[in-house]
Amino acid sequence: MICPNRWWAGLLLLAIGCSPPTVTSPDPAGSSADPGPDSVAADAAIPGGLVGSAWPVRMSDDALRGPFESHSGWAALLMQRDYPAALGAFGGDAPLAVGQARIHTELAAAYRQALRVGANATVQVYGENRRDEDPAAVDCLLLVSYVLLGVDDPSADRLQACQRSELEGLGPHAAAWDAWRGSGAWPPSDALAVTAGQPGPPTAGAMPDAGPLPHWRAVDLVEGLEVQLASPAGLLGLALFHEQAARAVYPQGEAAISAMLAPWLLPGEPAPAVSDELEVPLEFLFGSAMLVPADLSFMVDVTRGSGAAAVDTWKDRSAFASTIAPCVDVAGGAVDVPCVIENAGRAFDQLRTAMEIRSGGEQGYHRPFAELGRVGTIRAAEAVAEAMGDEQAMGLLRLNALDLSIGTSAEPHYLLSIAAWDAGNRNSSRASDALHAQVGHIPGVEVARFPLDALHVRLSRESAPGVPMH
Amino acid sequence: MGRSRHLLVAAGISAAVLSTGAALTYYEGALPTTLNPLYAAKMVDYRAQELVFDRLWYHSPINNELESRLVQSWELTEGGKGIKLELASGIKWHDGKPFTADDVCFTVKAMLDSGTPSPIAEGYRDILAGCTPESRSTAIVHFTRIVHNPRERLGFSVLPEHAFDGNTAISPDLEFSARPTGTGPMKGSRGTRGVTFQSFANGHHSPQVGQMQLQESGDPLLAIKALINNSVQGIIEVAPNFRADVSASDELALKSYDLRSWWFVAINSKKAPLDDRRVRQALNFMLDRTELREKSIGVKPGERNSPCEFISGPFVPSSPYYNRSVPAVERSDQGQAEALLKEAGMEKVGGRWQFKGQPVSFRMGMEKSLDNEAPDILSYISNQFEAAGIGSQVYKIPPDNWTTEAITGHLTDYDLLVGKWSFGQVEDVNELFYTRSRGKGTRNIFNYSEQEVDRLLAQYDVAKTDTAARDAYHKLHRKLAEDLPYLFLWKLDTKSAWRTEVKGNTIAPYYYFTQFDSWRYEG
Repeated sequence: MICPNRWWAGLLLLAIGCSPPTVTSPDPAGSSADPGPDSVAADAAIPGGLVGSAWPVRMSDDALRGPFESHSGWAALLMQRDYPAALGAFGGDAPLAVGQARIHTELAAAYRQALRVGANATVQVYGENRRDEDPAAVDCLLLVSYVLLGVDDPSADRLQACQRSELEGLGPHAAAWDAWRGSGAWPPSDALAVTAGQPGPPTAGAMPDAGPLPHWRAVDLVEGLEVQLASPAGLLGLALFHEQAARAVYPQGEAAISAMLAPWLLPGEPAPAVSDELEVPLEFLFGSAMLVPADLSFMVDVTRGSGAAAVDTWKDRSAFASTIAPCVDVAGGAVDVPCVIENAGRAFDQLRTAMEIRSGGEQGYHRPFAELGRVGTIRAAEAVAEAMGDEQAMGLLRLNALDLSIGTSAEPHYLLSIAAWDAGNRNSSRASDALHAQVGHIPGVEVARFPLDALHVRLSRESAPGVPMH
Repeated sequence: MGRSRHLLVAAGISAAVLSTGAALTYYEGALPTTLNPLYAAKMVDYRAQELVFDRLWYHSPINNELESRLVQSWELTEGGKGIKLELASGIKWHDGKPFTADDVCFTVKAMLDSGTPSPIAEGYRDILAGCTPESRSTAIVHFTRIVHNPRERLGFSVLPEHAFDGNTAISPDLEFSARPTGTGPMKGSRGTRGVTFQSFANGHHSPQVGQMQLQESGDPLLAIKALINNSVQGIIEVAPNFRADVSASDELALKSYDLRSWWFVAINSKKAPLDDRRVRQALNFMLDRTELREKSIGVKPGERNSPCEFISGPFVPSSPYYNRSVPAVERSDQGQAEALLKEAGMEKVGGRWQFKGQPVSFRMGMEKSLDNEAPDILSYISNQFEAAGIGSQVYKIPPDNWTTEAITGHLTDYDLLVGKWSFGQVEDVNELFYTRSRGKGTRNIFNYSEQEVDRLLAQYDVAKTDTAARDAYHKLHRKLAEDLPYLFLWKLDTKSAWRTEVKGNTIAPYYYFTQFDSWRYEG
């Protein structure tokens, strides 16, 4: 049952401390005392109290949403995921530091996924599909890619093979990453020091590119033609730049930034501790695929903590965990995909209904906001399936989430994570399309294009013949 | 369930009972020309055939793994020049006869038979050398050379030997093309108004949809209305203009369909004045692609994340074969167009261009079904030429005629043809631009012929390395952007729409129905 008096009272308090365009969080933990409407109880996927805490429902209040709506930075971020425009709009506006931190955090996640695209493509093209024409330089890139992916290199002599390359700087680059392997040091400063395209010191509001590309020009061993190479490690510097910029511009949000980044971390990165009482400002959730603060904690627990067991731990606090709990058989190690899709749809309906009640009628933004909740739920189930090793369910959920990731729901870091998965699965067409779509928004991801293009050409030349169809 | 959903579902149920019963019905832009996999020319052909036949190997649409429903195990033989296949047991053809190694070898032999005039078979002739059935369940496929990842090369559909009485010279116009016998999840039959599919339980397929109908859609708005009213349950290609409507409906789901498609206007460079490259270049500058895209596809200038991106050559921009140093012409430049036309000896009289004293007017055609994806595109192109002083008469060409006449190079009475080509993993464009002779250039619309282009295509064909292949296509891209046998328009993403009662509908890149066994219709 909704409690409008309490909600409006909360808003009044907010209004006292907040005047547009400055935005502060009304309640870091969300209005958890505000239950969902009775009308949705029978079909509920999310417990009523959690529905009221979900940012789409909280943001269904015009007064709370207004400052966000009227700010071009948020509009650029949410409507088009246009990071350069959004960062520019937030730039120099100290009270809006949270928004800037949010963008830097998303970019930090996106660059990590782009790194995985590049590393997976490198492994597939030069490792799994090595050809006589490939120059010795690819051994160096293979070594670095295996290290970045946290995967054992099938060759013990990789560094030695790499040293046969005479390309300037490539041998030391590979050697430095080889030395870092297993050291536990983070960040890998020594290795980054010999990695091309590293940005300068972190600067809030800045968006450096990857520097001159390609990193190296080799020649193939059959015809002596130029082969362009780029090291995926170049993307780690950009990821760290944005992470550090986020932390610098919004030091109070340290825990929230860490939690938001957790699902996207690379192997070897220290994971944040799972927090029972994570404080997350509304700006950090607004327009994201996380509904309530506990969803962040749940995702940290699934991806960096207890895995699928997190569903049971968080089902009373996390909207995601509660929605997917009936679909997860932890003991059997399986996720029921149709159940997840159905429950995510019910969560979507619940959110929309609660938003309509809050707004006093249907509004145009209700559907896209609720859609983010649906996508986030499916993505959470996907992470659970991955933690369980249920690859079939994970893949199906990923495809379902991909279908829904359009418009406001199209988060670049998620789309790039699918591209990384595709590159690892040798689905170079979809990976190339996804990467290409992000180049305009996140220019540095161009680095990953070099190995991905090489993979695509190689696979297309080894496929069954095809003729153009109309 | 949302409140508006109740109303639409109630309306939809009655429509479904009246019009389609329990069958699942979907719209394609056109009917398949043939259900014989050797003669697929349109994407609709491939999609329909995927329901009726099994390819020897295919990629899982979920994790892209190479899988086979027909082959139980395999091993390389002959030092890598052969592959021995142990076939799965219990598989039957749709007429009840058992599937055997003879069928696999018959298919290989049919593709190698020069009496089978199939461009698809032609592609395999470079790789396949033959096939030997060792037993009813064992076949050895022989390659012309050692190939990397040989299973990747065996993506063809298997045909039943008995349906052709063992005759390996397969003609495109046999009864088999309308009522084929396959081993796929559905038995298909093509009629004049559609294709009927009936489920066929088999050792390797358990389809959950009993009946399905493929129908030809008409007006895209009416098609969307039919989908909303539940008169049909799916549309394979939804025009970008209508995608927002689909997304905004609780009863419909927009589904990604990975297909690399690009659009073009083919120019008849054999006919004056289009045989003059400067005239073709002038036309390239006359077109305002930004306006065309906005009017026909609904993309606003400067819009980000557009499903439609301009191109300057015969590849999608995300492809490594696309030469990114060749800029696309996005806006018209009438000044450059006029200068080029004058240089080519044309003059403008009373606002109309004349060539040798006669007003210039072009006969323009387009495959009719493209109107579903880019409504009125032909008229908009015509209007732009008219505004620039060139007349035109426009014609919509039935899809079957496009297949039998346009791509075979017989619509030479046209000056311009608007079309679209689609590709999967392989983006080989050689058949489009090779001089048409001796089995090459089989899809060269206006029989374009240019020595340098032929040289670059040959370079790609014989490239020993990936880099050489890519370099050849980059040079080809640049050359075609200058010589302009086509005005390259854009790549356009493809999206399908299905009613939410259709569940488990994973869509495979390019082939679409590869995972059809998981599809359910709960209508």
